[in-house]
Amino acid sequence: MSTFLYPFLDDDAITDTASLLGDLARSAEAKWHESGELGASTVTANREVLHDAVVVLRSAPQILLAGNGGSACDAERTARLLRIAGYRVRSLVADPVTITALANDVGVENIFARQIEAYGRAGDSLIVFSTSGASANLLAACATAQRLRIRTVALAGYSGGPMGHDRSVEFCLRVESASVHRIQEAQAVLIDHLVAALAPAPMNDTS
Amino acid sequence: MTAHATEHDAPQFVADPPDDRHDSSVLAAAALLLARRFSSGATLWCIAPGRDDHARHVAVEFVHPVIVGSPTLPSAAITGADIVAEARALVRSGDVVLLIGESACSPLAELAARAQAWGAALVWFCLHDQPPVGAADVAVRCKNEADLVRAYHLVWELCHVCLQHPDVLTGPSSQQLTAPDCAVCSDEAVTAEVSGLARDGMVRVRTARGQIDAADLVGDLRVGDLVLTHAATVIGRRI
Repeated sequence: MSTFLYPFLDDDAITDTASLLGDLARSAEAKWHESGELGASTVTANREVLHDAVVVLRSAPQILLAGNGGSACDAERTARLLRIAGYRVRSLVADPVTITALANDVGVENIFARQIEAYGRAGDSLIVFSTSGASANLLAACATAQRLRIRTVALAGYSGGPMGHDRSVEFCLRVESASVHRIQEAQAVLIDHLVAALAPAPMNDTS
Repeated sequence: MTAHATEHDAPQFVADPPDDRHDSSVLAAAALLLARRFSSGATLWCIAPGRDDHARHVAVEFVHPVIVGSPTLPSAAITGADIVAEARALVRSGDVVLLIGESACSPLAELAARAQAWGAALVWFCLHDQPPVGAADVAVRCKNEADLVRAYHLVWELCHVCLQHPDVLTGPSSQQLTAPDCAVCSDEAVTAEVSGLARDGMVRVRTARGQIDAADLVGDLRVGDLVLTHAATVIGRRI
């Protein structure tokens, strides 16, 4: 596994703690730099889509957010920051009771789509987070959102993956990487730019 | 970073230049500490008051690794209204407590003080500043939340590399494990947490090496107080 994660480490040369720590620090340094470069290039490459997405999100009466695993945490983090900025947000990953009920009864593919049917209204926006761009339940969520005239924004790795050319995804913020961690780190940078551009919330009529 | 956008003003999304000013050696040190503790049966407890999303993110990385074939490792987020009480009930001697947040966050400062009494190693991902010197076994400074994500991802990756090298998994994995063996008669005072009150001037205290009954020279102690013990005697308060 270390060969997969750190192919430049020479396992045979590691015989003591000091040499391992030295090698790990040098490897981490290289990855830190790689991640920083990817974050910067991702913002630059997505400038126009970011602009268009921000215009739509600012006018949304409600913003729904979804993701799986670590990307669920990104959805939660974005919800937290947008809530602080004054937006009306609903994280679709926040309630384990609802999620387990839906997963058990109608399947994990529908855990977000079903909630969008319940909570979403025409004119709302949905933001989905995916490292692969291929999560079936997020694609189903976007399809349901489109049917209900809810605007859709995706943050997706693997150059967008299937979300990059899915017709139900209106705005796709693509990360040009195939490494799950590096993708999430670039998406963290995108989140910071999105929130900075969106804050503070306009005075929406939320009635 | 950009200003906010309207339909009429085009936002200028300008990428911040990559910032390489950070200390990779602390990431390696945190990874080795975690690997050593995991190999001894530890659970990793992740706590981020006001930012539960990050605590859950760290936990899921270890429980459900992104690399097929990596071992699942016991890790969980502690969230809720009273995280100190939750942590007191869950953390066992030998575990690792991982804190995320600013040094001024009072629940984190309290947890940092109590971790030693509980026998837990402490890793602190400190946002925007640095924890007090000696407050954590390893302190990782992060200037913003994007750097935080990068830092804990790298620690996860490095930890799994360490676990591939059994020769380095023995050795000290925290400051407190380098202390003398005997918590009762060592030359050093030991941090302890009052866990029960007894009669005749005795109290029950929790230390890194277990519960002991100690003579109380301080008086007016309550359950939960953090104290210094020496030779089975409570000789002072910590907080």
